[in-house]
Amino acid sequence: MIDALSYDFMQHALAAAVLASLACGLMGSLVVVNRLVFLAGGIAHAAYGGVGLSFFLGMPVIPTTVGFTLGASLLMGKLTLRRTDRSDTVVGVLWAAGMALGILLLDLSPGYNVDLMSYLFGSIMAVPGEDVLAMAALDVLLLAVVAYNYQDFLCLSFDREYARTAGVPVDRLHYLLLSLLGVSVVMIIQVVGLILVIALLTIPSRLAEYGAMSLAGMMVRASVYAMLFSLAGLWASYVLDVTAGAAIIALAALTFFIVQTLGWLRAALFRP
Amino acid sequence: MSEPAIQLEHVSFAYNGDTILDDVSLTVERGEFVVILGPNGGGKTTLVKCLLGLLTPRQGLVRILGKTPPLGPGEIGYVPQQTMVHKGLPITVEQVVQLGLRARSLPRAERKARALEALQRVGLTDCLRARFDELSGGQQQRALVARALAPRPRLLVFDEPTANIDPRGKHCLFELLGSLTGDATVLVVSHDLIAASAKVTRVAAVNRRLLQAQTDGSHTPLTPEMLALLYGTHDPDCPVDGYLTSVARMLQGPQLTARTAPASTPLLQDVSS
Repeated sequence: MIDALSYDFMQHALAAAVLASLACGLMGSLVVVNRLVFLAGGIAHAAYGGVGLSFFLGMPVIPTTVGFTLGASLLMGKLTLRRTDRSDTVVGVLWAAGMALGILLLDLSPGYNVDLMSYLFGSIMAVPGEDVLAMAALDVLLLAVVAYNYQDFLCLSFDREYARTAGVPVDRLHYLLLSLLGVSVVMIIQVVGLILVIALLTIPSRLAEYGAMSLAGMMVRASVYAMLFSLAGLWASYVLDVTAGAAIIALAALTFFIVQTLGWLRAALFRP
Repeated sequence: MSEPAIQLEHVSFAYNGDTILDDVSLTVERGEFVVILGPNGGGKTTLVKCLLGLLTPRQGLVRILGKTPPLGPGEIGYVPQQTMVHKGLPITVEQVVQLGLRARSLPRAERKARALEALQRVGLTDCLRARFDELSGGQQQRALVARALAPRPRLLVFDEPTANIDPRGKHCLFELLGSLTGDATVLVVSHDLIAASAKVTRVAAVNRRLLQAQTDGSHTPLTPEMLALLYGTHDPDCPVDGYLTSVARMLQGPQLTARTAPASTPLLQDVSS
């Protein structure tokens, strides 16, 4: 493994994994505590529409996909802001529609033969240096915005109705959160793929919820857990010669099920 | 002379064509302890949201502490239903209480002191560093009361404070709420008739319309008209009638008994004479 670190592609992969983990720890904690996991999945899949659009129109992939995903995020935000009872249906429709649109537009794009699998599981071993820098910039942006709005996010996450009466700009924060999520998802999909984004947004954050004493603590823990899963998955990928993204997800999911099972057992054995 | 804490004049509210509140008027003076009873779907939460400025009535006047809502942060201490709170969030009791001071630009030490003072008032200082979701239902409710108290508001509004609390916890909670009057006006909305047993200065019943009565300090004037507004009228052999009769006896002593049929007669009748 030490030998592997001498290669540029491996250094980039490690840097990408660490930076993606930090972004996922920050955003994933807000996603999990605000119960937006399904919405995050919807945004991630709707991003496919942006990929298809960029190839169909012959425009740069990242700006086009970011713009499209931001639009999809804000649309989902608008449709789900007050109608929480039926939000899953709306998100499900946009989820499927965005992905279908992306595939159709790619089919209709002449001369392109895009490997959609690379968007599903990403290509973390082939991350160019500029993508690493872009992710570092994204992390700085996320840290700044979350730190500036931390108390408001905390109030919103704990009790949305109270937050409205306490003068928290609930609607603005809702759209801000989804916009940050949309941008993060697009940037990270380029590196680690759609499936790993959802896994890194949810699993480390859910595990971090146990034992944390604050939302900030949960974010730090989630980032550390995501990094551990990513680094261990990269190592497993190198040693076993398997797909890195899938190895990271498998490790995270296995840990999640073990922790959940231990929790259930403890509750069953020590229930008063 | 200061304006009333709450002033509602001919307030009506409709949602999707359904009238939720119809010509509701209520005046609550400062320092009062008021309970508004109502069945589920009777318009209690809509009424609260109109007071808080989260909803605007179709017609009528709403004035809170002499101003048109919404008021500034911290002027009203609002305690929503516990079910609205995300209990899995990693947050300590102290952090929850400090959320009430979010809008106040207070130094860190002052925020901590205010949070501690609020927790002392609700008897929860032992749980300062505990995670909110590790507390019992009653303790969680007390922590939410402390959050509302922390900014020292002049009006406290409680939406269904007894939900998910056992009878002993309810008793303790109403004792606590009674102790808060003086500094502030306290308004409780609840579907739980037990709320009327607290030492309140005014009881109202809302079920689209609103009826109210002022207490004389010795008993709760839950009038037959109020019970009829809340639950309609029932035949004497109807189980609902039996339940209401027992609750009414518990609230008002043995001098009242139920007599619910025919529908035109009062639900309760004073038989002590």
